[in-house]
Amino acid sequence: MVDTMLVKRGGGLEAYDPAKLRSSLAAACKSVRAPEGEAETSAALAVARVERWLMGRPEVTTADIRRKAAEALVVYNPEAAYIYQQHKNIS
Amino acid sequence: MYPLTQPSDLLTIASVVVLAGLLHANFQLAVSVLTRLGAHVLGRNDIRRQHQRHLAKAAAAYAWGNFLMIGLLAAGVTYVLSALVTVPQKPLWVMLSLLGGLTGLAVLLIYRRDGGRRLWIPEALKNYLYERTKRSTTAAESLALGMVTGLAELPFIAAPLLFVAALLRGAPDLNRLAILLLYAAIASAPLFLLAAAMGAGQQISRLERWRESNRRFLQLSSALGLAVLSVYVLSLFGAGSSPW
Repeated sequence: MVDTMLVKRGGGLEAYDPAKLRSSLAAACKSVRAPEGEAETSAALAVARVERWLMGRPEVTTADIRRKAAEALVVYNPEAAYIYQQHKNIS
Repeated sequence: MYPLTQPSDLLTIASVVVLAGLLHANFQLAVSVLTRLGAHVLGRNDIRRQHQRHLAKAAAAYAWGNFLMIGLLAAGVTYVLSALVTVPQKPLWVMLSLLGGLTGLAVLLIYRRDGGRRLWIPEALKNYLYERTKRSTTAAESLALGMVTGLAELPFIAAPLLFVAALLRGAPDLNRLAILLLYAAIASAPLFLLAAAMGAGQQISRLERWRESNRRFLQLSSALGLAVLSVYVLSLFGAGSSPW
C-alpha cells in the first residue's frame, strides 16, 4: 500500500490512485494496438515499478509520476511509453 | 476585382491557391490533435473489431470538420474583403504580402527558440483542445473538434487564408466556389491521409515519431514557403504605380 500524496499542476493535493495510473498506462498500450491482456499486464508491471519508486516518498508531483511511469512502461512497451509521454503535447 | 473568366486568370489564381493550401497543410496543429484523438479512441476501446471502426469514424469526422471550418473561414473572409474592405487592390496586396513575410519570419524565430514545441495559441485554448480530444467519443464530437481546431489554427494560417480570400474578391460564381473548395481540400488533405493511414492500421506512434523527427524541416519549409508566396503575390498583384 502506497500512501503518497500527489501535488497537482495547480497546487492541489490528491491521494495516489494505482487504478487510475494503471488505467492510463493500459490505454497508452491499447492506443498502439497492444492486445487487451498484454496492455493490462504491461500496465500492471509498470505500476509495480512506479510504486517501488514511490516507497518512502510522502509527496511527489503528478509530472514526476508521469515521467516515472513512462520510464517504467518503456521496458514493456516502448511505443506505448512514447504515446504516454506525448499525450498532452499538442503542437 | 478579378473576373475569373480567362483561363490564364484561373491558372494564375490556382497556382497561388495551391501554394497557399500547401502552406496551410504544412502547419501541424490539426495533425497533432488528430493523432491524439486517434490514441484516445484506441485507448478507450476494448473490443478489437470496434477499434478500427471507431477510429475510422472519429478520424474521418474530424477531418471533415476541419475541411468544413476552413471552407467557412475562407468564404467568410472572402465576403468581408469583397463587401466591406474598400482598400484598392495594390495597397491591399502590399499589406498582405508584408503580413505573409512577417508571419514566415515569426515562424522561423519563435519556433527556433524551443525546438518547435511552442504554440501560438493561448494556453487556455490548448488545454481546451486537449480536454475535448480526450472527451470526444462520438463522430459528432470529433466533427466539432475538427472545426474548433480549424479555428485555433488561425494565427498560423491567417496569411495564406487572406491571400486566397483577396484573390477571390468579387461577385460569387462557380469558379470562385471551386477554387475555395480546392483550397480547403488541399489544406485539410494531410488530415484525410492521416485518417486513412490510421484507419488502415498504421501505428499512431510511428506517425508521431515521423512528425517529431521532421518538425524542423516542416517549419523551415513553412517559413520559406510563406516568404516565397508573399513575394510571388506581390509581384503578381502588388507591383506597378497605379493603386488598381
